[in-house]
Amino acid sequence: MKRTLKQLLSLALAGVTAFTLVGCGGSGKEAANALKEGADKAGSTEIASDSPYAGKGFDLSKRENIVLYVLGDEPKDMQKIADQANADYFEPNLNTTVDIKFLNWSDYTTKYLLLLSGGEPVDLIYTAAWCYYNEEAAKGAFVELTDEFLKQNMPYTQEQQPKESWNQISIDGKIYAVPKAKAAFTAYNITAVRQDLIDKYKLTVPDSFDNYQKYLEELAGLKGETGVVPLNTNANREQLLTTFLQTKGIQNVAEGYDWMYYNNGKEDAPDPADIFYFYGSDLNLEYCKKMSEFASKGFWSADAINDTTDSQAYFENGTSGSFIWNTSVFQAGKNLESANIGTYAVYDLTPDALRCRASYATDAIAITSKSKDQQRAALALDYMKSDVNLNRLLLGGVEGTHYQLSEEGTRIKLDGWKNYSWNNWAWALNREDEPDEKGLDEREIAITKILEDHEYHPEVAGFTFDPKNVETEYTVVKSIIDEYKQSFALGIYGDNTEKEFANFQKKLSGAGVDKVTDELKKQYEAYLFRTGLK
Amino acid sequence: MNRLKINIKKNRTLLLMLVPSIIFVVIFNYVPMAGIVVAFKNYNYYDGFLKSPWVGFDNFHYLFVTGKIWELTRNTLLYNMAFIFFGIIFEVGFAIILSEITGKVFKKVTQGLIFLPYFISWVVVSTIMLNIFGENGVLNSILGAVGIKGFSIYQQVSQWPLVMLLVRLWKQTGYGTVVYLAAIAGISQEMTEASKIDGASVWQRIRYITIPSLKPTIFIMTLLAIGNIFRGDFGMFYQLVGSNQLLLQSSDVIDTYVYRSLITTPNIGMSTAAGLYQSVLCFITICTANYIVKRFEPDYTLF
Repeated sequence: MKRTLKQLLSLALAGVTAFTLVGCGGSGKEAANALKEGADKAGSTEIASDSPYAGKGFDLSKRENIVLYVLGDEPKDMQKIADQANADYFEPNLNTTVDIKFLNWSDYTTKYLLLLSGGEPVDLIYTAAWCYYNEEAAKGAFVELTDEFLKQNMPYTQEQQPKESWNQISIDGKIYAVPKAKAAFTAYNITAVRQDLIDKYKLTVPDSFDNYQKYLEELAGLKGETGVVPLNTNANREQLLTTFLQTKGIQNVAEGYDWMYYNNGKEDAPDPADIFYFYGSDLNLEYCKKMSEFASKGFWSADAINDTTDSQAYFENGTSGSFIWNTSVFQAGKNLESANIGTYAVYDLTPDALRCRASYATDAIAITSKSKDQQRAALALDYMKSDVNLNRLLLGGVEGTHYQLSEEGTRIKLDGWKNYSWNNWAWALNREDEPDEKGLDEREIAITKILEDHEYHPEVAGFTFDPKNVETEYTVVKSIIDEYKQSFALGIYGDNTEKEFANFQKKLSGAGVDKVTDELKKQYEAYLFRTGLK
Repeated sequence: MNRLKINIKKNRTLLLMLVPSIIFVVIFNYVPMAGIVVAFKNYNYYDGFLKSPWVGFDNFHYLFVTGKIWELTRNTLLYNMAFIFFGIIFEVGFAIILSEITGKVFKKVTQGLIFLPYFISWVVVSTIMLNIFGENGVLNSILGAVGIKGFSIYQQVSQWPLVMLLVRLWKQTGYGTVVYLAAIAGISQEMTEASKIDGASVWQRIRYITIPSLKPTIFIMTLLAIGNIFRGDFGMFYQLVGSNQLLLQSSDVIDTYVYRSLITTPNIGMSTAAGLYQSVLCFITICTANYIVKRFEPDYTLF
């Protein structure tokens, strides 16, 4: 018995050792190849004569590797695309290789910070108002991009980039990242509903917020029969807030922060006195009461607050009567239909609401201050943004494999699309001339048209808030909001909502929310002066 | 001096075997302690750990500004006290029961079943809980079928701490049991046999032989647990309570609060400050506990 065990053990060990050796051999060979390649090319210190960077006085004699970090999950064909970009563009024209690395959604919050504070090499990194731009810039993690620096090291981008985009990304007049060149719409939520149920039970068509409530009520009444929860939601997504704010004509002052004003259908920048903090406001109370009413009517499960299943999945598997989110509702609807569970329709519950073009600052790429060659990093970024062919390669892959351009200049998905979908990660790189997609679902085209008709450009779009002077207060305020937010949004207090809300307000003011609001207004006034709006 | 040299020479093999652990502890426990300075600094990347400006106790301010820290500290402390106290009773209890069971298969199966939950992560535990004890869960459906309506474990606000305790015991008992089983296995068989010959009953044997022999292990395990008494089990509290404010009122611990405060605007200084606050409290408690044990049972102390 013992002997067999020993024999088995040694066999297993031998196997493991052999496996390790083979593994080592493989990577060793690769490394040797890479070395050889490097040595071959290092000999040629000249860049191609037709390179856009030739004869501009840049010292490109040394081969550099630039590491770019972006957010999201790595597309299947990423390595192929990266290799092609290096071979065809970066190596011959910039004597550079670019290494694109991904921070997954699941843990980017922790990794992002470690990356910047740790010893890992990183030259370029994705950033945004919602992705630590202000905080990290304040800590000195990013290189300040002065006019001079831009002119010298990012000559093409400096020229092509829309002027207002520079204003929008700047903090106190200083630029720390290069924003995208095409602004998308800000968060605007639309609603996917179950068309098959509407047809079968003659339900109210949810074409407005009030009718949507009726639709939910009718579904709640049918729950025993259909097994469908009217709005199966949970603590991961606050599905109704954006839509609720849309019904009120609310505009955020700074993206990523909850200070707001009533836009009254105008684009004018508001008076500082009209700005209020959403949490703890009368509007907030109205919302909380509405949500508690919804909860008591059984629109969602009483335990939704402790549920962690994604609510999109609930719509896709047919257990939710609606799903409210951005254009990803179409994908949810398609998945519902392809599973043969039901059919979907999409409605805009707030057809009169204005839809704001987001600030360019929602996506940007910064050069890190710990980058060993900041000039080369800047040049690589400049090249990715300014060269149409390279840019399209990075955004959409290979034309003919991943996408196809039509005669009118719109793009069509090809089979390879699932391995490299359009602009999966390069949000901060897109250009003004990025082709739109063609051949979408009819329902999608109809909604897109409605939304585009309601486009408006509020003057506040360029303002960003920097909470560093009131960091202690803001930290506490946010922890209080985080404690209550989802509980109010899912209406778990029932009849005690008003009492709990008073508690919530008291805690907020105890934490110094007014001081933070004053600081925001101070910065906002400075912004008005700086931009000549006042 | 000479004696020391002789001693080193004599025990060089043993000392050499000690080296890896010493290196491990120095690298992972002592060197990072220097990071405490960050708690008193306004950290930025330009200046790094040493040159960032000092800010005194500013980083601690956010913990105390609303007085919330007292409530958090109380929750953390009370929960951990309950976990430790009931943990010992259940772990020792199960270890004794298992050691007295004679059927080999039955014993192994029971032990396996008790140990199994330890390997399930809190994320999975919270999903299982929701699907069994939630409003749309299995239990509620069964109760509904026999005419009892509307039970959900998440609505039991006042009994919630008890729920937490039970889940914790279900998950952790297996692990502790193994430790005590090992200790029981170390008890000399001669004593047990002698007592059997003298006609001691099972209860008498447990009362006068097993439990007294387990005492050193119990003391050491308790002291070790007390060393972490101001640290909440983040995974457990975060997964089971989530953002349900009704439950948070009694189940918000320091760790979940710090997470909520700093996840969106991270500040290394502030999180270090919270960690330091917990460490200082833990340090004081462990020293006090150890001192008390030393006075009454000097053989069972940690140091």
